[in-house]
Formats: sequence, C-alpha cells, structure tokens
Amino acid sequence: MSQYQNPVDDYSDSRRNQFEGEGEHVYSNNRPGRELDEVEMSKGRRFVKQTAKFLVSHVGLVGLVVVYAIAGGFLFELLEQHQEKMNCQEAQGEIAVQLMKLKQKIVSYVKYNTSVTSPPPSPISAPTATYVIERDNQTVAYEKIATMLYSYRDFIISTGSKYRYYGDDCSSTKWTLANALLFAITIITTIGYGNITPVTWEGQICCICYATIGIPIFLLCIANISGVLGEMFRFVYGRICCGACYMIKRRRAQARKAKAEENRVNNMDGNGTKGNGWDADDNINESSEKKGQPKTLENEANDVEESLDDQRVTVPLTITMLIIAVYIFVGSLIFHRFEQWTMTQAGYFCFITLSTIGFGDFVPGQKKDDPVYKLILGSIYVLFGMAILAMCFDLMQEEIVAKFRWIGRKLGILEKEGDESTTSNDKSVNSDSTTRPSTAVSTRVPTPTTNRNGKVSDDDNESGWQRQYSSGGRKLSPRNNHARVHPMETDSNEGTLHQRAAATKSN
Amino acid sequence: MFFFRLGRKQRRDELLQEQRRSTAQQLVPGSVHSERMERCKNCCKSFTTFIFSRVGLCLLVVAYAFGGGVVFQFLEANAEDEKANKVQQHLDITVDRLLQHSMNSSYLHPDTWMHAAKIILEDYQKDIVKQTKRGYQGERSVDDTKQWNFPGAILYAITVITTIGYGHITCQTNYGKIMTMIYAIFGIPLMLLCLANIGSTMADAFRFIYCNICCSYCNMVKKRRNLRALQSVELSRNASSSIPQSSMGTTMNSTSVQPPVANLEQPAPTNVVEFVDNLSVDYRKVTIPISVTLSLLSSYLILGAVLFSEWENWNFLDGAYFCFVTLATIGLGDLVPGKSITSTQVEGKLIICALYVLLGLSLMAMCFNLMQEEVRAKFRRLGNKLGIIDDPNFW
Repeated sequence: MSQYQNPVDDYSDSRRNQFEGEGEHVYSNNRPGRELDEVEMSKGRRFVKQTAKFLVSHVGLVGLVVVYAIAGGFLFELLEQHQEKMNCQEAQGEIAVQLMKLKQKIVSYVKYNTSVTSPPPSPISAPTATYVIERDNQTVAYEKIATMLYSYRDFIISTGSKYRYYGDDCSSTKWTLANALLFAITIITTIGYGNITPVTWEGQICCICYATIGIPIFLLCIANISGVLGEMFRFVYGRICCGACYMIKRRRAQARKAKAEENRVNNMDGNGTKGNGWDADDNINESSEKKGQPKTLENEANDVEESLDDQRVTVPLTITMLIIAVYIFVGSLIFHRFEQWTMTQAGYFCFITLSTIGFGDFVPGQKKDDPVYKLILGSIYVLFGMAILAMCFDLMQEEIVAKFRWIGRKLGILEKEGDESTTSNDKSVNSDSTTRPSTAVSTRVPTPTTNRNGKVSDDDNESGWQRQYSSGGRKLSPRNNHARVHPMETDSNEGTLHQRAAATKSN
Repeated sequence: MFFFRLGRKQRRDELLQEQRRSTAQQLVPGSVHSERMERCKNCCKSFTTFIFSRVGLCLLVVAYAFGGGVVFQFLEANAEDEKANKVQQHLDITVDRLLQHSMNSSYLHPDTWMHAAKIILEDYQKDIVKQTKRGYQGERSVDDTKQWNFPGAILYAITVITTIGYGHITCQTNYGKIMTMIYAIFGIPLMLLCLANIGSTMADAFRFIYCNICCSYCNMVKKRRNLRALQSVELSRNASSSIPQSSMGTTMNSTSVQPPVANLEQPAPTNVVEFVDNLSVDYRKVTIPISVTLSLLSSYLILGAVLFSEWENWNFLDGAYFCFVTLATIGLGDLVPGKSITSTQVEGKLIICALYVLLGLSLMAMCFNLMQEEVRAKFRRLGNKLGIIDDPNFW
C-alpha cells in the first residue's frame, strides 16, 4: 500500500508546486481524471474573474477619475461663485472711489496751479487774479501729474491682486461650471494653470483636501491605463509593422541553426584531440560542458524560431517621440483654430500643458463670450494627453535602458554579460531564480516591462502569457523556479549522487 | 505627476546592479597592456558611476538651474525693459492727453473736463490691467528691482524643471518660449532622475536611523526572546538527534518525500550567534509606518507656512496653501513670495523659495519611497480579504 502511495503523492506534490501560484485547488484523490474536469470548469470561472478584474481595475478607475473631476467642478463652483461676485463689486467700488479722488486732484491741480489754463490776461484783469496763484511750467506739471498717476497705478495693481479683479464688469462670473471643471482637472493632474484660483478660505482648504485625495487616484489610473495602452500598442506594432522583420529574423535563425549543426560536428571531432594533458576533473568538466554546449546552441536556434511568435517587441524611441510630436501638433492646430493664437503660441500651450508645468498665460476658453465646448475640449485634450504621455513613457523606458546598457557595453564601461543573442542560456535561468526572490521583496507595479532576455524583469501582469520569458519556450512559472531552487539548497551530506547530478545539470 | 515612476526607476537600477554583480566574470590574467586597459576601464567606470551617483546628479541639477537662469535672463531682460518703457510711454501719453484737453477747452468747466478725463483715465486703467495680466508688476518704490533679475530667472528655471510652473513671470518673447520648451525636455528627466536617486538615499538613511534609534528597544526584546526560543530548540534537537540520521539510510528511495519535510524546518544552524544575526532586523527591509512619513511631510509644510506667512504678511492658511500647492507641483501662482508690489528684499526671498522647493521635493521623493511598500501591502491585504484578488502576485 505504501509503495502504491508514493508515486501518486509524487504526482500531486508536483502538481501542487506548479499550480500553487494560480489559486487552484488540487484534490488529493487518486483519480487524475477528476482533476482535469476541475481544470476545465475553472477555466470558465477564471475567464469571468479575469474580465471582472479588468473591468474593475481599468474601466473602474477611469470612471472614478471622471466622476471625481466632475464632483470637484461642482464643489468649487459652489464655494467660489458668490464670493467672486462680492469681490468683484467691492473692487469696482474701491476703484471708482479712487478714480474720483484722482480726477478731483487733477482737476484742482490743473485749474489752480498751471499756467496753461489761465486765460489770456485782459486789461481789466483785476478780478481774474484769483485764477492763478502759483504757476508751474509744463515739465513740473508733467511730473506732478505723473506722480499722481503712479500712485493710482499702484492702487489698481494691489486691488487687482487682492480681489482678483481685472477690470471686467461683474455681470459674468469666471467660476462657471466648465471653468470649475477645468480647474479641478488641473488640480488633480498637477498642471495648475492659476488663471482662476480659490479666494475664500473654505475654497483653499477644499483645494488642499481635493488634491491630497485626487492626485494619488489620478496617478493610479494613469499607471493602469498606460499599461493597457502600451500592451495594445505593442501588439499592433508587432503584428502590423514588423511583418518584414519576422521574415528576416527567421532566415537568420535558420542560418544559425545550420551553423549549430556545423559546430556540433566540429566538437565531436575535437573531443578526442583535446583530451591530452588535462586533469581528470577538467576532463569531466570539459566533457559535461561540451555535451551541454552544442545542445544549447541547437536549443538556442530552435528557441529563437519558437520565440519569434511570442517575443517581446520593444517599440523604438523614434516611434514614441513621433506619437508625442503628432499629438502636440494636432493640439496646436486645434487651439490655433479655436483660440486665435499663433501656431507658436498654441504649440507652446500644448507643450506646457502636457508636461504639467502649466504656467497659465495661455488658457483656452477664457474670453467672456466663449462657448462652453471650448473648455470641455480643453479638458478632454488634457486627459487624453496625460494617458498618451504615460503610455509613451512606458514604451520608452525599456528602449532607453537597453540603449544605455548597449552604449555602456560598447564603451567597455559595463562588463560583458554574456552573449545577448543566446536566449536559452542557463544564466538566464539562474538570474531568474536569483531575481525572483528579490522582486518578491521589492514592490511591484501593475505594468509589465519584461526585457527581451527576461533579464531586467520588473513585475508580473495579470495575464499569464507574459510571464513566458523567451528563454527556450520553456514555460517558466515562478513556482517552478522555487521548486527547483530547493534541491540546490540541501546540504551536501544529505544529497545522494542522483540529486547532486540534478543540481549540476540545472546549474 | 511623474513621481509615481520614480520608485520603479530606482528599483530598476538596483536590479541592474544586482544582476551585474551576480554575473560578474573572472578576468583572464593578461599582459601589461590589457592591465592598463583594465585600469583605464575601471577609471572610466568609477567616473561614470560618480556622475550618475548622488552627488554628481545634484551638482548637475544645480548647474543646470544656474545655466537656465543665465539664459532666460539674457533672453527676457530686454523684453522686460521694453515693456517697462512702454508702460512709461503710456503714462506720458495719458498725461499729455490730459493737459492737451485742458488746453483745448478755452474755459475750464469742471463737469465736461471730468467727463473727458474719466475716459482718458479709464483707458489708462485698462492698459495697466492688461500689462499686469502679462506679468507687469509695477515699480517698487523701495528698490527698483526688475522681475527678470538673476534670482528670478533661477526660480523660473526651477519651476520649469520641477514642473511646478507658477506663471507669475513667463517668457514673452518667442525665443524665450522655444527655449523654455527645449529646457524642459532635457531638464525634467534630469530632475526626475536626481530626485529618484536622492529619494532612495534619503529613504535608506531614514530607515537606518529609524531602525537603530527608534526601534533599538524593540530589537533588544526580540533578540532576547529569540535567543530563549533557540536554546529550547537546541536542547530538543540534541535529545533526538540520533533518530533522523538512522532513518536516512532506509528511505533512500523515497527521495521526493524526504527533502520537502526536511526543508520545512529551519536549516540547522551551526552557531547560535549566526542564527540570532539572521533574525536581527535588516534595516533595508523595515517598512516605516505611514503615520511617521505623513507627520514628517506635514511638519515640513507647517514650517514653510510659518516662514512665508511671516515674510509676506499672509495669514497662516495662505502660507500653508502656498506650500501645499508648491510641494504637490501644482503651482497655481496666485501666491508667490516676492511677487506683490509691497514686498521687500525680493532677491533673498526668491533664493529661499527656490531652496525650499528643491528640499521639499527631495523630501517628497523620500516619503514616496518609504510609503510605497506600506500602501501596497495594505492594499494587497485588503484585496485578499475582500476576495477580489486571488494570487498574491496581483500588485
């Protein structure tokens, strides 16, 4: 009975190791057929769960951001509108008062102190002596009036900054719903134009709280969206734009396969001649190495062929920069048409907005009689621009890292990390097994950025196919690695010869 | 907005370094020539590692800001002079018109004069407002400092590369605008890189301090407890040490069952000290609670609020609002130190503002770094509890 148990326990143990990470239940009964049924049923469940996850994570986040922005628009409009009216009227009143005072001052000065306004003296001018008491000439008059105007100007400037009043009449309010929506969006994207800002203390505190909650939500949404968009773009790019590249690579892989055949033939010949003058250990190592070598070369050629289908495509830098440039150009066309800015100004606005600098010297839809759709257009442009920019960042990262490493290797600064073309190199298995625990410790971000060799492997994605590194078509799941790590860690005195051979083979 | 990406870049750097170390090859001993080449290569390597290291990056950013200040001042100071001249001209024209009008009216009737003067002065007011919107801020009576002086230009450059973007002064010339775009394209990634590096360094330092100073008591207690547990385990192990070894010989065939069972226990420690060292807290793996990081950030905010409200005669809420808007890189620009027409010692204030911005952003990067792990762990736990997430590899 015990002997019958062992192989089945073996089987269920290995199954447990394989499927541990995917949350499947492994029933430890002795009929493998039932397990297959369960796998079939849970596939449907898994699909439903995956779509639910997709909906909740991606669509849900986008919806959350949109709802948050609209709610913010309502909130700020409510808080700021009536205060704006009051401020406007107060500022108008103050300026009018000051203007009146200035006018009287000037009039009195002009009337009584300058020589230009005195009528020509008539012979019977005794009663006209009251006009002129003191006469300044024109330059002095100039200066005095200029001083009065200086102080008037200072007053206007300080009143303007105090009440945010800029000389418009108080009939139309700046805090319309569309403007408030744009304000809310500039807050959560951290652009921050500043053309309208909260003046009341409630508004300022609300602004702080709104930003504290809104900015992380927005960043989360962007991170998710950029992952999805990046994947879609890579897929499209790989399937459509690189059909030619595949053919070339296939031809090259076949050539390499032929070369591998040649090498194997050569190695078979050279095995006997090189045996002289080597120690016993070296001979054993050499033989094992040579047995491994042609196999890996052949494997490599096979794997390159196999992996052509699921090789990870990195979009070149030029394409991503082209996308960004096209988006900025399209935006500047739109705003040049709608806002009567020049092309330079519109391009400047698009750039400053997309980089989230957001000076606020150019803001769409701020004139008094502008229709609402201009502001909505501006908001939509901003949101889409952020998503596209995040996607391009995602696509650019891999390329830049790979290029820097290439440059460093060419300059000899970095050490050579083995042949880059060998994809089924056992080193990658080792590095996978060593980086697995480290990535388990470090944090994960839900966007996938695995490199071509699977070397700098950032994080996992929900979809399982991306965990296939192109190393050899072997579907390495992380659990597999863990199961393989354990036998290597056993103490030497406990291991049998069988285990030690297995350990060196996986090394 | 791009802070979120900082942690990933820094982790990528760490992973790269680890891999490089793990796959380091043995160098074949060669001739003198190759040795010299090796030394040269090592020299270059250390040089580039310095450039990309913490100090080098900081200096690079500072130099970049200074350079930007020089360039922008050169491009915009003339335009500002012209604008001031234009404003002055308009003033003169207004005075002229007033006097002309007075001259033309043969008899000075107050009402008609007032009416005409009103039109002239309202014209003048509109022009001032237009100039103010474009950034003109009047001439200060106390010190006749221009807007585009050197500290102002440096602050402008810093607001561009940190993407704060106040907007209280902006480039008016076309060359200035194009220069701004080019400056931003290169400056923003540089700044992000610098912040990522500084953030990770400061986070490590903070974790170290937190572990060793604030948690030393907890560590001592834990060590003592572990020591006692280990001693009891050692005693029990020594008592039954003969049994596992005898069973090892008989069950050679069923190898698959034995090793997992053996590996479920702790690996047999040879030394008590080793075991205790393994259990002692590695400061790199400690997660700082979120409350600590949040309190650190808010204390920096309050410090800035107090400072700026004192200087600029704002109330405390205005100061806190300004500090928050600055540190979140929103940068509305309605409140900026040194902007208003009544402020004094403008240059000093601008420099202090620039320093506050840089230091605050590094602090934010550090806190982001510290908070990430905590937040993700919490979300994962929450997700697992709610049953949304199945596998622990979701995040």
